[in-house]
Amino acid sequence: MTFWDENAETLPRDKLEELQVKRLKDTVARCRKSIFYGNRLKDIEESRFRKPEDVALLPFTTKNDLRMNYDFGLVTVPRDEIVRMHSSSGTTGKATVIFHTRRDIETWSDLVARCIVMTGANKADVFQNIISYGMFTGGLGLHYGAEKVGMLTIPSGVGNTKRQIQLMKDFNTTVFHATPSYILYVSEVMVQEGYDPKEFDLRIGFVGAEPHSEQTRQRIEDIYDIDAFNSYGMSELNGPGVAFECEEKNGMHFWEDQYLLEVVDPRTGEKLAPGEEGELVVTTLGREAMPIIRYRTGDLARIVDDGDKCSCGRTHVRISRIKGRCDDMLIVRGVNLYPSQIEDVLMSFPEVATNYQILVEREGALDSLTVKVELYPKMFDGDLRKLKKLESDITKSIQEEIVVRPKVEFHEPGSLPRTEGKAVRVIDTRGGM
Amino acid sequence: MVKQINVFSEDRPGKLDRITGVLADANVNILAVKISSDEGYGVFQFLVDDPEKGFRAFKQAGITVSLKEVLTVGVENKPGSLHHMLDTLRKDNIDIEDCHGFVAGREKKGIIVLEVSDPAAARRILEQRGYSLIGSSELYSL
Repeated sequence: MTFWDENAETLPRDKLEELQVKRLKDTVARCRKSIFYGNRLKDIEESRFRKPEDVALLPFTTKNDLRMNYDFGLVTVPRDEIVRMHSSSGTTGKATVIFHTRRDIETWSDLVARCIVMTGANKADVFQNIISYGMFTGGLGLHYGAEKVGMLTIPSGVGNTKRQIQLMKDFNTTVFHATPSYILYVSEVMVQEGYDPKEFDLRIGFVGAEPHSEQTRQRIEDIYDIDAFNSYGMSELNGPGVAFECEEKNGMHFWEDQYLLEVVDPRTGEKLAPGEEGELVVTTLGREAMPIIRYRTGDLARIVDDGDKCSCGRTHVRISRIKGRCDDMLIVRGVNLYPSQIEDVLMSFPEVATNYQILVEREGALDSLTVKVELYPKMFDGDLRKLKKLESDITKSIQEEIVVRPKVEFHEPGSLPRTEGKAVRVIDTRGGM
Repeated sequence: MVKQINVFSEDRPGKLDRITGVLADANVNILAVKISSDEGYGVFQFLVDDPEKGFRAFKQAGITVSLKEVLTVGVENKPGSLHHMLDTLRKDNIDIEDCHGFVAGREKKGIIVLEVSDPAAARRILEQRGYSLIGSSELYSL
Protein backbone atom coordinates (compact mmCIF):
# COMPACT_ATOMS: atom_id res chain seq x y z
CA MET A 1 0.00 0.00 0.00
CA THR A 2 1.48 3.32 -1.00
CA PHE A 3 0.52 6.77 0.10
CA TRP A 4 1.20 10.26 -1.16
CA ASP A 5 1.07 11.77 2.32
CA GLU A 6 0.92 8.82 4.71
CA ASN A 7 0.93 10.94 7.82
CA ALA A 8 -2.10 13.00 6.80
CA GLU A 9 -3.97 10.12 5.20
CA THR A 10 -3.70 7.78 8.20
CA LEU A 11 -3.97 10.34 10.98
CA PRO A 12 -5.77 8.75 13.98
CA ARG A 13 -9.37 9.93 14.30
CA ASP A 14 -8.84 11.89 17.52
CA LYS A 15 -5.89 13.74 16.01
CA LEU A 16 -7.84 14.34 12.82
CA GLU A 17 -10.75 15.86 14.72
CA GLU A 18 -8.43 18.00 16.78
CA LEU A 19 -6.91 19.28 13.56
CA GLN A 20 -10.38 19.97 12.12
CA VAL A 21 -11.36 22.10 15.10
CA LYS A 22 -8.14 24.08 14.92
CA ARG A 23 -8.53 24.66 11.20
CA LEU A 24 -12.21 25.49 11.56
CA LYS A 25 -11.32 28.26 13.97
CA ASP A 26 -8.64 29.54 11.59
CA THR A 27 -11.10 29.42 8.71
CA VAL A 28 -13.75 31.37 10.59
CA ALA A 29 -11.15 33.97 11.58
CA ARG A 30 -10.02 34.24 7.98
CA CYS A 31 -13.56 34.46 6.64
CA ARG A 32 -14.20 37.61 8.62
CA LYS A 33 -11.92 39.41 6.19
CA SER A 34 -14.38 38.93 3.31
CA ILE A 35 -17.26 41.30 2.61
CA PHE A 36 -19.80 38.49 2.65
CA TYR A 37 -18.76 36.68 5.82
CA GLY A 38 -17.51 39.73 7.68
CA ASN A 39 -21.05 40.77 8.26
CA ARG A 40 -22.49 37.29 8.68
CA LEU A 41 -20.10 36.02 11.31
CA LYS A 42 -19.81 39.10 13.48
CA ASP A 43 -21.69 37.54 16.42
CA ILE A 44 -19.83 34.24 16.42
CA GLU A 45 -16.87 33.63 18.69
CA GLU A 46 -14.21 31.12 17.74
CA SER A 47 -13.98 29.86 21.31
CA ARG A 48 -17.35 28.15 20.85
CA PHE A 49 -15.85 25.56 18.50
CA ARG A 50 -14.74 22.64 20.64
CA LYS A 51 -15.59 19.66 18.40
CA PRO A 52 -16.10 19.32 14.63
CA GLU A 53 -19.90 19.11 15.03
CA ASP A 54 -19.88 22.65 16.39
CA VAL A 55 -19.61 23.80 12.79
CA ALA A 56 -23.42 23.62 12.90
CA LEU A 57 -23.34 26.88 14.89
CA LEU A 58 -22.48 28.60 11.62
CA PRO A 59 -24.95 29.56 8.90
CA PHE A 60 -25.09 27.68 5.57
CA THR A 61 -23.60 29.13 2.41
CA THR A 62 -25.59 28.47 -0.77
CA LYS A 63 -24.84 28.67 -4.45
CA ASN A 64 -27.08 31.69 -4.51
CA ASP A 65 -24.85 33.39 -1.92
CA LEU A 66 -21.92 32.86 -4.28
CA ARG A 67 -23.88 34.31 -7.18
CA MET A 68 -25.10 37.31 -5.21
CA ASN A 69 -21.54 38.04 -4.11
CA TYR A 70 -20.05 37.77 -7.58
CA ASP A 71 -17.24 38.54 -8.08
CA PHE A 72 -14.90 39.14 -5.10
CA GLY A 73 -17.43 39.08 -2.25
CA LEU A 74 -16.00 36.00 -0.53
CA VAL A 75 -12.33 36.72 -1.11
CA THR A 76 -10.15 37.15 2.01
CA VAL A 77 -6.78 38.08 0.49
CA PRO A 78 -5.45 41.10 -1.43
CA ARG A 79 -6.04 40.79 -5.18
CA ASP A 80 -2.36 40.39 -5.94
CA GLU A 81 -2.23 37.19 -3.86
CA ILE A 82 -4.68 35.52 -6.24
CA VAL A 83 -3.10 33.39 -8.94
CA ARG A 84 -6.03 31.50 -10.44
CA MET A 85 -9.72 31.85 -11.16
CA HIS A 86 -12.12 29.04 -11.98
CA SER A 87 -15.77 29.18 -12.78
CA SER A 88 -18.61 26.70 -12.55
CA SER A 89 -20.36 25.77 -15.76
CA GLY A 90 -23.17 28.21 -15.05
CA THR A 91 -25.67 26.00 -16.85
CA THR A 92 -28.28 26.75 -14.22
CA GLY A 93 -28.01 30.51 -13.92
CA LYS A 94 -25.32 33.08 -13.40
CA ALA A 95 -21.83 31.63 -13.14
CA THR A 96 -20.02 31.38 -9.84
CA VAL A 97 -16.31 32.13 -9.62
CA ILE A 98 -13.70 30.68 -7.28
CA PHE A 99 -10.26 32.15 -6.61
CA HIS A 100 -7.03 30.53 -5.46
CA THR A 101 -3.75 31.72 -4.02
CA ARG A 102 -0.50 30.02 -4.92
CA ARG A 103 -0.73 27.97 -1.73
CA ASP A 104 -4.31 27.00 -2.51
CA ILE A 105 -3.15 25.53 -5.81
CA GLU A 106 -0.38 23.65 -3.96
CA THR A 107 -2.81 22.25 -1.41
CA TRP A 108 -5.31 21.29 -4.09
CA SER A 109 -2.65 19.57 -6.23
CA ASP A 110 -1.50 17.64 -3.17
CA LEU A 111 -5.01 16.40 -2.53
CA VAL A 112 -5.33 15.26 -6.14
CA ALA A 113 -1.92 13.56 -5.88
CA ARG A 114 -3.22 11.65 -2.84
CA CYS A 115 -6.19 10.49 -4.90
CA ILE A 116 -4.06 9.38 -7.83
CA VAL A 117 -1.59 7.41 -5.70
CA MET A 118 -4.48 5.92 -3.71
CA THR A 119 -5.69 4.08 -6.85
CA GLY A 120 -2.32 2.45 -7.44
CA ALA A 121 -1.25 4.83 -10.20
CA ASN A 122 2.29 6.18 -9.99
CA LYS A 123 4.96 8.25 -11.72
CA ALA A 124 5.68 5.50 -14.22
CA ASP A 125 2.18 5.86 -15.69
CA VAL A 126 1.22 7.77 -18.82
CA PHE A 127 -1.81 9.86 -17.98
CA GLN A 128 -4.27 11.12 -20.59
CA ASN A 129 -6.52 13.82 -19.19
CA ILE A 130 -9.57 13.45 -21.43
CA ILE A 131 -11.64 16.19 -19.88
CA SER A 132 -12.40 19.86 -20.44
CA TYR A 133 -9.67 22.26 -19.54
CA GLY A 134 -10.33 25.97 -19.24
CA MET A 135 -12.42 27.32 -16.43
CA PHE A 136 -13.88 23.90 -15.66
CA THR A 137 -11.81 22.52 -12.77
CA GLY A 138 -11.65 18.89 -13.92
CA GLY A 139 -8.91 19.52 -16.45
CA LEU A 140 -6.37 21.61 -14.58
CA GLY A 141 -7.19 19.96 -11.25
CA LEU A 142 -6.14 16.48 -12.34
CA HIS A 143 -3.40 17.90 -14.52
CA TYR A 144 -1.58 19.57 -11.63
CA GLY A 145 -2.04 16.54 -9.40
CA ALA A 146 -0.73 14.16 -12.05
CA GLU A 147 2.35 16.29 -12.69
CA LYS A 148 2.95 16.45 -8.98
CA VAL A 149 2.92 12.66 -8.86
CA GLY A 150 5.32 12.74 -11.78
CA MET A 151 3.21 11.05 -14.43
CA LEU A 152 3.74 11.79 -18.09
CA THR A 153 0.66 13.97 -18.47
CA ILE A 154 -1.09 14.40 -21.81
CA PRO A 155 -3.53 17.33 -21.64
CA SER A 156 -5.66 15.98 -24.48
CA GLY A 157 -8.85 17.67 -23.30
CA VAL A 158 -12.15 16.43 -24.60
CA GLY A 159 -13.34 15.82 -28.16
CA ASN A 160 -11.65 14.77 -31.38
CA THR A 161 -12.26 11.18 -30.39
CA LYS A 162 -10.18 9.57 -33.12
CA ARG A 163 -7.17 11.61 -32.05
CA GLN A 164 -7.73 10.56 -28.43
CA ILE A 165 -7.54 6.95 -29.54
CA GLN A 166 -4.43 7.64 -31.61
CA LEU A 167 -2.76 9.26 -28.57
CA MET A 168 -3.59 6.24 -26.42
CA LYS A 169 -2.03 4.03 -29.05
CA ASP A 170 1.06 6.11 -29.81
CA PHE A 171 2.00 7.02 -26.25
CA ASN A 172 0.84 3.84 -24.50
CA THR A 173 -1.53 5.64 -22.20
CA THR A 174 -2.03 3.64 -19.01
CA VAL A 175 -4.30 5.95 -17.00
CA PHE A 176 -7.10 8.24 -18.14
CA HIS A 177 -9.48 10.74 -16.58
CA ALA A 178 -12.86 11.24 -18.26
CA THR A 179 -16.58 11.54 -17.71
CA PRO A 180 -18.36 8.18 -17.83
CA SER A 181 -20.49 9.17 -20.82
CA TYR A 182 -17.54 10.30 -22.90
CA ILE A 183 -15.25 7.38 -22.15
CA LEU A 184 -18.04 4.98 -23.09
CA TYR A 185 -18.46 6.90 -26.33
CA VAL A 186 -14.71 6.57 -26.96
CA SER A 187 -15.08 2.79 -26.71
CA GLU A 188 -17.82 2.84 -29.35
CA VAL A 189 -15.58 4.78 -31.70
CA MET A 190 -12.71 2.35 -31.02
CA VAL A 191 -14.93 -0.52 -32.13
CA GLN A 192 -16.04 1.39 -35.24
CA GLU A 193 -12.40 2.00 -36.08
CA GLY A 194 -11.63 -1.69 -35.78
CA TYR A 195 -9.92 -1.64 -32.36
CA ASP A 196 -10.68 -3.77 -29.36
CA PRO A 197 -10.81 -1.39 -26.35
CA LYS A 198 -8.98 -4.08 -24.38
CA GLU A 199 -5.95 -4.03 -26.68
CA PHE A 200 -4.66 -0.70 -25.33
CA ASP A 201 -2.27 -0.38 -22.39
CA LEU A 202 -4.92 1.24 -20.21
CA ARG A 203 -5.02 -0.06 -16.64
CA ILE A 204 -6.69 2.62 -14.53
CA GLY A 205 -9.49 5.10 -15.22
CA PHE A 206 -10.54 8.09 -13.12
CA VAL A 207 -14.21 8.62 -13.75
CA GLY A 208 -16.00 11.69 -12.53
CA ALA A 209 -17.81 14.99 -13.13
CA GLU A 210 -21.12 13.18 -13.59
CA PRO A 211 -22.93 11.05 -11.04
CA HIS A 212 -22.92 7.49 -12.36
CA SER A 213 -24.00 4.09 -11.15
CA GLU A 214 -22.02 1.06 -10.04
CA GLN A 215 -23.28 -0.72 -13.17
CA THR A 216 -21.77 2.00 -15.33
CA ARG A 217 -18.43 1.62 -13.57
CA GLN A 218 -18.50 -2.13 -14.13
CA ARG A 219 -19.33 -1.60 -17.75
CA ILE A 220 -16.36 0.73 -18.19
CA GLU A 221 -14.13 -1.77 -16.41
CA ASP A 222 -15.35 -4.65 -18.56
CA ILE A 223 -15.12 -2.81 -21.86
CA TYR A 224 -11.56 -1.63 -21.28
CA ASP A 225 -10.41 -4.35 -18.87
CA ILE A 226 -9.25 -1.73 -16.36
CA ASP A 227 -9.91 -0.64 -12.79
CA ALA A 228 -12.13 2.44 -12.74
CA PHE A 229 -12.22 4.76 -9.74
CA ASN A 230 -14.95 7.18 -8.81
CA SER A 231 -14.06 10.79 -8.15
CA TYR A 232 -15.93 13.52 -6.32
CA GLY A 233 -15.44 17.23 -6.31
CA MET A 234 -16.92 20.52 -7.43
CA SER A 235 -15.44 23.85 -8.39
CA GLU A 236 -16.75 25.55 -5.22
CA LEU A 237 -14.58 23.10 -3.24
CA ASN A 238 -11.58 23.41 -5.63
CA GLY A 239 -12.72 20.73 -8.05
CA PRO A 240 -11.58 17.11 -8.21
CA GLY A 241 -9.67 15.93 -5.16
CA VAL A 242 -12.38 16.31 -2.53
CA ALA A 243 -13.08 12.57 -2.30
CA PHE A 244 -11.85 9.59 -4.27
CA GLU A 245 -11.95 5.82 -4.14
CA CYS A 246 -9.06 3.75 -2.89
CA GLU A 247 -8.25 0.31 -4.26
CA GLU A 248 -11.02 -1.19 -2.09
CA LYS A 249 -13.62 0.66 -4.22
CA ASN A 250 -15.99 0.77 -1.30
CA GLY A 251 -16.83 4.45 -1.02
CA MET A 252 -14.74 7.56 -1.61
CA HIS A 253 -12.36 8.79 1.08
CA PHE A 254 -13.29 12.36 1.90
CA TRP A 255 -10.19 14.37 2.82
CA GLU A 256 -11.29 15.51 6.24
CA ASP A 257 -8.13 17.40 7.09
CA GLN A 258 -9.07 19.86 4.33
CA TYR A 259 -12.88 19.55 4.29
CA LEU A 260 -15.32 19.30 7.15
CA LEU A 261 -18.23 17.13 6.02
CA GLU A 262 -21.81 17.10 7.26
CA VAL A 263 -24.77 15.15 5.88
CA VAL A 264 -28.07 16.98 6.36
CA ASP A 265 -31.72 16.58 5.50
CA PRO A 266 -32.07 18.64 2.31
CA ARG A 267 -35.44 20.03 3.40
CA THR A 268 -34.80 20.94 7.03
CA GLY A 269 -31.01 21.33 7.07
CA GLU A 270 -30.91 19.11 10.18
CA LYS A 271 -27.97 16.81 10.72
CA LEU A 272 -28.69 13.18 9.84
CA ALA A 273 -27.49 10.05 11.63
CA PRO A 274 -24.36 8.35 10.23
CA GLY A 275 -25.28 6.19 7.26
CA GLU A 276 -28.43 8.11 6.38
CA GLU A 277 -28.66 9.55 2.94
CA GLY A 278 -28.80 13.31 2.65
CA GLU A 279 -27.24 16.43 1.21
CA LEU A 280 -23.51 16.88 1.60
CA VAL A 281 -22.57 20.14 3.34
CA VAL A 282 -18.90 21.02 3.29
CA THR A 283 -16.65 23.58 4.98
CA THR A 284 -13.20 24.18 3.52
CA LEU A 285 -10.51 23.93 6.19
CA GLY A 286 -7.37 25.08 4.44
CA ARG A 287 -8.35 27.46 1.72
CA GLU A 288 -6.82 30.93 1.76
CA ALA A 289 -8.26 33.02 -1.07
CA MET A 290 -11.86 31.96 -0.77
CA PRO A 291 -12.81 29.81 2.19
CA ILE A 292 -16.42 28.62 2.22
CA ILE A 293 -18.40 27.68 5.29
CA ARG A 294 -21.08 24.98 5.31
CA TYR A 295 -21.59 24.95 1.58
CA ARG A 296 -24.83 23.30 0.46
CA THR A 297 -23.48 21.13 -2.35
CA GLY A 298 -26.88 19.87 -3.50
CA ASP A 299 -25.30 16.42 -3.88
CA LEU A 300 -27.00 13.46 -2.27
CA ALA A 301 -24.98 10.68 -0.68
CA ARG A 302 -24.41 8.92 2.60
CA ILE A 303 -21.45 8.11 4.76
CA VAL A 304 -20.29 4.52 4.32
CA ASP A 305 -20.64 3.23 7.83
CA ASP A 306 -19.65 -0.40 7.92
CA GLY A 307 -18.19 -0.12 11.41
CA ASP A 308 -14.68 -0.83 10.21
CA LYS A 309 -11.73 1.24 9.29
CA CYS A 310 -10.98 0.92 5.58
CA SER A 311 -8.48 -1.86 5.00
CA CYS A 312 -6.33 0.53 2.96
CA GLY A 313 -5.35 2.12 6.28
CA ARG A 314 -6.76 5.58 5.60
CA THR A 315 -8.73 7.03 8.47
CA HIS A 316 -10.72 9.57 6.47
CA VAL A 317 -14.44 8.91 6.25
CA ARG A 318 -15.89 7.41 3.05
CA ILE A 319 -18.96 8.61 1.17
CA SER A 320 -21.16 6.56 -1.12
CA ARG A 321 -21.63 7.25 -4.80
CA ILE A 322 -23.50 10.46 -5.43
CA LYS A 323 -27.08 9.36 -5.94
CA GLY A 324 -27.93 12.56 -7.74
CA ARG A 325 -28.45 16.17 -6.97
CA CYS A 326 -31.25 17.38 -4.74
CA ASP A 327 -32.53 19.21 -7.79
CA ASP A 328 -32.22 16.10 -10.02
CA MET A 329 -35.02 14.38 -8.22
CA LEU A 330 -38.02 13.89 -10.45
CA ILE A 331 -41.54 13.54 -9.21
CA VAL A 332 -43.45 11.53 -11.77
CA ARG A 333 -47.08 10.63 -11.03
CA GLY A 334 -46.40 11.45 -7.41
CA VAL A 335 -43.42 9.11 -7.14
CA ASN A 336 -39.95 10.42 -6.24
CA LEU A 337 -37.21 9.02 -8.42
CA TYR A 338 -33.66 9.70 -9.49
CA PRO A 339 -32.26 9.31 -13.00
CA SER A 340 -29.46 7.20 -11.52
CA GLN A 341 -31.99 4.50 -10.64
CA ILE A 342 -33.00 4.22 -14.29
CA GLU A 343 -29.38 4.24 -15.40
CA ASP A 344 -28.63 1.38 -13.05
CA VAL A 345 -31.30 -0.77 -14.70
CA LEU A 346 -30.26 0.13 -18.24
CA MET A 347 -26.61 -0.70 -17.65
CA SER A 348 -27.54 -4.19 -16.50
CA PHE A 349 -28.76 -4.99 -20.05
CA PRO A 350 -25.83 -5.74 -22.37
CA GLU A 351 -28.04 -5.16 -25.43
CA VAL A 352 -28.33 -1.50 -24.59
CA ALA A 353 -25.62 0.99 -25.49
CA THR A 354 -24.31 3.47 -23.01
CA ASN A 355 -26.12 6.60 -24.09
CA TYR A 356 -29.68 7.19 -22.93
CA GLN A 357 -32.18 9.95 -22.32
CA ILE A 358 -35.11 10.35 -19.97
CA LEU A 359 -38.06 12.38 -21.14
CA VAL A 360 -40.80 13.50 -18.78
CA GLU A 361 -43.93 15.03 -20.33
CA ARG A 362 -47.46 15.77 -19.37
CA GLU A 363 -50.19 14.15 -21.41
CA GLY A 364 -53.47 15.66 -20.25
CA ALA A 365 -53.48 15.28 -16.50
CA LEU A 366 -50.96 12.45 -16.44
CA ASP A 367 -47.18 12.49 -16.41
CA SER A 368 -45.50 10.25 -18.92
CA LEU A 369 -42.00 8.90 -18.61
CA THR A 370 -40.13 7.87 -21.73
CA VAL A 371 -36.73 6.22 -21.57
CA LYS A 372 -34.86 6.44 -24.85
CA VAL A 373 -32.05 3.97 -25.26
CA GLU A 374 -29.65 3.18 -28.04
CA LEU A 375 -29.22 -0.41 -29.16
CA TYR A 376 -25.76 -1.87 -28.87
CA PRO A 377 -24.91 -2.76 -32.50
CA LYS A 378 -23.14 -6.01 -31.64
CA MET A 379 -26.22 -7.38 -29.93
CA PHE A 380 -28.59 -6.85 -32.87
CA ASP A 381 -29.34 -10.05 -34.74
CA GLY A 382 -32.16 -8.83 -36.92
CA ASP A 383 -34.98 -10.41 -34.96
CA LEU A 384 -37.87 -8.06 -34.27
CA ARG A 385 -39.38 -10.40 -31.70
CA LYS A 386 -36.22 -10.35 -29.63
CA LEU A 387 -36.35 -6.56 -29.67
CA LYS A 388 -39.96 -6.67 -28.47
CA LYS A 389 -39.01 -8.99 -25.66
CA LEU A 390 -36.05 -6.82 -24.69
CA GLU A 391 -38.32 -3.79 -24.65
CA SER A 392 -40.76 -5.45 -22.30
CA ASP A 393 -37.96 -6.81 -20.07
CA ILE A 394 -36.43 -3.35 -19.68
CA THR A 395 -39.83 -1.79 -19.05
CA LYS A 396 -40.54 -4.34 -16.34
CA SER A 397 -37.15 -3.95 -14.65
CA ILE A 398 -37.44 -0.16 -14.56
CA GLN A 399 -40.93 -0.39 -13.16
CA GLU A 400 -39.71 -2.72 -10.43
CA GLU A 401 -37.04 -0.18 -9.52
CA ILE A 402 -39.01 3.06 -9.61
CA VAL A 403 -42.68 1.95 -9.50
CA VAL A 404 -43.60 4.15 -12.47
CA ARG A 405 -44.06 2.26 -15.73
CA PRO A 406 -41.96 3.90 -18.43
CA LYS A 407 -42.29 3.75 -22.17
CA VAL A 408 -39.04 2.35 -23.52
CA GLU A 409 -37.96 3.51 -26.97
CA PHE A 410 -35.15 2.01 -29.03
CA HIS A 411 -32.95 4.32 -31.04
CA GLU A 412 -30.10 3.81 -33.43
CA PRO A 413 -26.60 3.95 -31.96
CA GLY A 414 -25.25 7.48 -31.98
CA SER A 415 -28.66 9.04 -32.57
CA LEU A 416 -29.33 10.37 -29.08
CA PRO A 417 -27.64 13.70 -28.41
CA ARG A 418 -24.40 13.43 -26.52
CA THR A 419 -22.22 16.02 -24.99
CA GLU A 420 -18.52 15.93 -24.42
CA GLY A 421 -18.72 17.54 -21.01
CA LYS A 422 -21.52 16.81 -18.62
CA ALA A 423 -24.28 14.80 -20.25
CA VAL A 424 -27.83 16.12 -20.29
CA ARG A 425 -29.81 12.99 -19.54
CA VAL A 426 -33.15 14.34 -18.42
CA ILE A 427 -35.59 16.49 -20.34
CA ASP A 428 -38.61 17.58 -18.37
CA THR A 429 -41.14 19.48 -20.48
CA ARG A 430 -43.84 19.73 -17.83
CA GLY A 431 -42.96 23.24 -16.74
CA GLY A 432 -44.57 24.65 -13.60
CA MET A 433 -47.43 22.97 -11.79
CA MET B 1 -24.65 -20.11 -48.30
CA VAL B 2 -27.15 -17.34 -48.84
CA LYS B 3 -27.14 -14.48 -46.37
CA GLN B 4 -29.68 -11.81 -45.72
CA ILE B 5 -28.93 -8.34 -44.36
CA ASN B 6 -31.02 -7.20 -41.39
CA VAL B 7 -31.05 -3.51 -40.55
CA PHE B 8 -32.46 -1.83 -37.46
CA SER B 9 -34.15 1.50 -37.99
CA GLU B 10 -36.15 4.02 -36.08
CA ASP B 11 -39.54 4.63 -37.61
CA ARG B 12 -39.09 8.18 -38.81
CA PRO B 13 -39.66 9.96 -42.10
CA GLY B 14 -36.70 9.59 -44.45
CA LYS B 15 -35.27 6.53 -42.72
CA LEU B 16 -35.96 3.99 -45.47
CA ASP B 17 -34.58 6.49 -47.92
CA ARG B 18 -31.32 6.76 -46.02
CA ILE B 19 -30.97 2.99 -45.78
CA THR B 20 -31.66 2.24 -49.44
CA GLY B 21 -29.29 5.10 -50.25
CA VAL B 22 -26.44 3.17 -48.63
CA LEU B 23 -27.03 0.17 -50.89
CA ALA B 24 -27.40 2.40 -53.94
CA ASP B 25 -24.12 4.19 -53.23
CA ALA B 26 -22.34 0.86 -52.70
CA ASN B 27 -23.76 -0.36 -56.03
CA VAL B 28 -25.43 -3.32 -54.34
CA ASN B 29 -28.55 -4.65 -56.05
CA ILE B 30 -31.64 -5.49 -54.01
CA LEU B 31 -33.35 -8.75 -55.00
CA ALA B 32 -36.04 -8.65 -52.33
CA VAL B 33 -36.93 -6.60 -49.31
CA LYS B 34 -39.15 -7.13 -46.31
CA ILE B 35 -40.03 -4.50 -43.72
CA SER B 36 -41.36 -5.44 -40.30
CA SER B 37 -42.17 -2.61 -37.99
CA ASP B 38 -43.47 -2.03 -34.57
CA GLU B 39 -44.37 1.13 -32.73
CA GLY B 40 -41.32 3.34 -33.06
CA TYR B 41 -38.87 1.09 -34.84
CA GLY B 42 -38.53 -1.63 -37.40
CA VAL B 43 -36.30 -4.16 -39.07
CA PHE B 44 -35.52 -4.14 -42.79
CA GLN B 45 -34.45 -7.40 -44.39
CA PHE B 46 -32.61 -7.22 -47.67
CA LEU B 47 -31.71 -10.04 -49.99
CA VAL B 48 -29.03 -8.57 -52.24
CA ASP B 49 -26.54 -9.64 -54.90
CA ASP B 50 -23.52 -9.00 -52.63
CA PRO B 51 -24.43 -9.34 -48.95
CA GLU B 52 -20.90 -8.93 -47.57
CA LYS B 53 -20.41 -5.70 -49.46
CA GLY B 54 -23.83 -4.41 -48.39
CA PHE B 55 -23.11 -5.37 -44.79
CA ARG B 56 -19.80 -3.49 -44.81
CA ALA B 57 -21.43 -0.43 -46.35
CA PHE B 58 -24.06 -0.32 -43.61
CA LYS B 59 -21.43 -0.73 -40.90
CA GLN B 60 -19.38 2.05 -42.37
CA ALA B 61 -22.44 4.28 -42.41
CA GLY B 62 -22.86 3.60 -38.68
CA ILE B 63 -26.11 1.72 -39.16
CA THR B 64 -27.03 -1.18 -36.87
CA VAL B 65 -26.88 -4.23 -39.07
CA SER B 66 -26.49 -7.99 -38.91
CA LEU B 67 -25.98 -10.74 -41.44
CA LYS B 68 -27.94 -13.96 -41.14
CA GLU B 69 -28.03 -17.21 -43.06
CA VAL B 70 -31.29 -17.93 -44.89
CA LEU B 71 -32.51 -20.71 -47.15
CA THR B 72 -33.71 -19.74 -50.59
CA VAL B 73 -36.00 -22.31 -52.13
CA GLY B 74 -37.23 -22.33 -55.69
CA VAL B 75 -40.91 -23.19 -56.07
CA GLU B 76 -43.24 -23.35 -59.03
CA ASN B 77 -45.06 -20.09 -59.65
CA LYS B 78 -48.57 -21.49 -59.18
CA PRO B 79 -51.28 -21.72 -56.47
CA GLY B 80 -50.48 -23.95 -53.53
CA SER B 81 -46.71 -24.27 -53.95
CA LEU B 82 -45.77 -22.21 -50.87
CA HIS B 83 -48.34 -24.09 -48.86
CA HIS B 84 -46.93 -27.48 -49.88
CA MET B 85 -43.41 -26.51 -49.01
CA LEU B 86 -44.36 -25.13 -45.57
CA ASP B 87 -46.44 -28.22 -44.92
CA THR B 88 -43.42 -30.42 -45.62
CA LEU B 89 -41.33 -28.52 -43.08
CA ARG B 90 -44.08 -28.52 -40.49
CA LYS B 91 -44.39 -32.32 -40.68
CA ASP B 92 -40.69 -32.57 -39.87
CA ASN B 93 -40.94 -30.13 -36.97
CA ILE B 94 -38.86 -27.36 -38.50
CA ASP B 95 -39.73 -24.01 -36.94
CA ILE B 96 -40.01 -21.15 -39.36
CA GLU B 97 -38.83 -17.90 -37.87
CA ASP B 98 -39.29 -15.70 -40.85
CA CYS B 99 -40.48 -16.06 -44.41
CA HIS B 100 -40.97 -13.91 -47.46
CA GLY B 101 -40.88 -14.47 -51.19
CA PHE B 102 -40.48 -12.94 -54.60
CA VAL B 103 -40.61 -13.83 -58.25
CA ALA B 104 -37.47 -13.65 -60.36
CA GLY B 105 -35.82 -14.57 -63.62
CA ARG B 106 -37.08 -15.01 -67.15
CA GLU B 107 -39.11 -18.07 -66.22
CA LYS B 108 -40.78 -16.12 -63.35
CA LYS B 109 -39.71 -18.64 -60.78
CA GLY B 110 -41.05 -18.29 -57.22
CA ILE B 111 -38.32 -17.88 -54.63
CA ILE B 112 -39.05 -18.33 -50.95
CA VAL B 113 -36.66 -16.85 -48.38
CA LEU B 114 -36.73 -18.81 -45.13
CA GLU B 115 -35.20 -18.27 -41.73
CA VAL B 116 -35.52 -21.50 -39.78
CA SER B 117 -34.50 -22.86 -36.41
CA ASP B 118 -32.23 -25.52 -37.89
CA PRO B 119 -31.00 -24.61 -41.37
CA ALA B 120 -29.01 -27.82 -41.90
CA ALA B 121 -31.96 -30.09 -41.12
CA ALA B 122 -34.35 -27.98 -43.20
CA ARG B 123 -31.96 -28.10 -46.13
CA ARG B 124 -31.72 -31.91 -45.94
CA ILE B 125 -35.49 -32.36 -45.70
CA LEU B 126 -36.26 -30.03 -48.56
CA GLU B 127 -33.71 -31.69 -50.80
CA GLN B 128 -35.08 -35.14 -49.94
CA ARG B 129 -38.54 -33.94 -50.93
CA GLY B 130 -37.25 -32.76 -54.29
CA TYR B 131 -37.13 -29.02 -53.68
CA SER B 132 -34.34 -27.12 -55.34
CA LEU B 133 -32.31 -24.95 -52.99
CA ILE B 134 -30.86 -22.00 -54.76
CA GLY B 135 -27.22 -21.32 -53.97
CA SER B 136 -25.71 -17.91 -53.71
CA SER B 137 -24.08 -17.80 -57.14
CA GLU B 138 -27.26 -18.88 -58.89
CA LEU B 139 -29.36 -16.44 -56.87
CA TYR B 140 -27.11 -13.44 -57.38
CA SER B 141 -27.06 -13.96 -61.12
CA LEU B 142 -30.84 -13.95 -61.39
